[in-house]
Amino acid sequence: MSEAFDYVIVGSGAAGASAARVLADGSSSLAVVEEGPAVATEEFVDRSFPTLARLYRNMGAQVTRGRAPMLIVQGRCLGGSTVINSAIIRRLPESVWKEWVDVHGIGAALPFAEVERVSDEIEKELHVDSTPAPIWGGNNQLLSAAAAQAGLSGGPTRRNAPGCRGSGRCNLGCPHGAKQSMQVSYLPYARNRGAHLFTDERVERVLWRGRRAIGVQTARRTLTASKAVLIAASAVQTPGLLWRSGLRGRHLGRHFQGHPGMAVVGLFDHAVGLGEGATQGFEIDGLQADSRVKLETLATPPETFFSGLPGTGREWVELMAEFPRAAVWVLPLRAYGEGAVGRSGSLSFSLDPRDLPNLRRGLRRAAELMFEVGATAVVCPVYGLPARLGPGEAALIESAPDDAAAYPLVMSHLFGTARMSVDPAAGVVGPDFRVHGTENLYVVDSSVFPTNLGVNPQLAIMALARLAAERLVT
Amino acid sequence: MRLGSIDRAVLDALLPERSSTVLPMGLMDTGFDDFLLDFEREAPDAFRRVFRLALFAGGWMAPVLIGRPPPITGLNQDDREKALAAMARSRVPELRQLITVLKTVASLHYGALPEVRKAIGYHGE
Repeated sequence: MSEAFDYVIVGSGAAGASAARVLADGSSSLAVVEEGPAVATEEFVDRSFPTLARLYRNMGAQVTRGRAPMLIVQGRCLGGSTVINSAIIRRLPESVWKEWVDVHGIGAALPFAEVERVSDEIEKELHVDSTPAPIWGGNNQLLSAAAAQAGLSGGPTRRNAPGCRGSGRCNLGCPHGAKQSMQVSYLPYARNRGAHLFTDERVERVLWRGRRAIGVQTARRTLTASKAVLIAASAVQTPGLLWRSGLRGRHLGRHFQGHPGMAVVGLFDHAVGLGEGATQGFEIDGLQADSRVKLETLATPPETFFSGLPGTGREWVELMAEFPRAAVWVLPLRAYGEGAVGRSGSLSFSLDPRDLPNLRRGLRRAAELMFEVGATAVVCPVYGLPARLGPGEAALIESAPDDAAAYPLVMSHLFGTARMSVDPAAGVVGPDFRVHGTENLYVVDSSVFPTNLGVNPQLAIMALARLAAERLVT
Repeated sequence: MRLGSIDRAVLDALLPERSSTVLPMGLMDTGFDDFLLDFEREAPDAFRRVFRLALFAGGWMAPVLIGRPPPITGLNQDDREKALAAMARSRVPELRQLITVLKTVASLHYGALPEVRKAIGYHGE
């Protein structure tokens, strides 16, 4: 079966949907192909197992290889990771953009004013606003109090979730359709303007005529593209698709970056209400200069809370029972380390020697902040530390092992495996997002980011994909 | 997969009954076998394989860590729990990671139980 379009977009997450929105506004015909299923808001449930099975890649159990495996979390459904993220909207930091200009020479291609312009537009379209205090819940209130008490810069998280009821279920799919994930925002917009959405279809390869991409092949059909093929399959899947399509290059699949992070749990002598309030409604940026970590709240369902606690047997169950009095804060680290995506899809990632000291400083500070707002104990699930730290013991965290395997790290923001470069020898795509050496194959997802960001990347991913799509139609 | 007696002993020591007044239910009293059918059907191959490996390690390697001969069924309940605790504290990261796998699968079931959620005050919607 063959169907013909002007553009074919592979992937329906933040990048693919943003490009689709722009291209659908023109008079061009458009197909968006998604490997995962379409799942309606009414189908989201308040249980982790069926959610992981339906919405997450590899049921949330995708790990890096090696002695210190790290969980890599990705959505795999219509809307991609926007369905299961916490709706956090942060701009591309100007300091990161400057690094891209100074080190990678791509400033002329991505003028900061242009990034800001499209970011403005996206924020307006997705009704981005600060998390209102009435839906903070106890967990966010505690981090807010900690920021105020310590004089650290921070504030309520800006999110694309108008009408959020604070059910703490962002990561299970928003049950109210409040979060403006792509499957309830940009993708319906594009479909209403004629875009065709194909779900449960994995793209096997890009089809070529010489150096020109003429479409894609799935197991069920051929989708031809008369103008361009856009790849937005994520920093993990995009390199594999490019390899399967016959492309090669020294940098393809390399420079895999992200924000590995972990959680600390504070135990209080009063109810916190971890399952109530916005999932990630408050954040502190004030630790980034010292330790390159961002401190955020995280509401979790009991399943996630239990599995992250240390111990076994009675010790473990006693900690589970602390759920009503627990606060959970997470620390994504702007790691220096890098990894790679292999041709078989295998993942590797190694921390840089500077990363663990930064993480430990951040963890210690987070624990201190918890004590400052009244925690009676802090659980920092690092191998070698006591299961519970008491007040005055936060400094022990700095003596934790200098071994990545001691830390239960999870990585959720992924970048760099098809990075942008002016010089074809230094990257995979050019400043116009076109894959070097091809006429009309574009990569528009976070694979092209030369570095990680230090902040949640959804908006930056959307902004760059939007710029790429705008340039195709103007 | 069907759980054998050694597997059951591992899971029972991992999350035993009467460990806490708030959560007196042990994992094996809560329909975990039924959950496992779903897990076998839905989970990726690698996840299922590593879960089986973790059960094997808990049954046959954990006792050795406390100086006792395997399998774990030869130990009394206290020693079974001590054996798994030793595996969780092992210097070998791979053994600790296998405990994490066991805890993850157990939590996916246990944390979703209505009686558990009620006991810890998680109401959901």
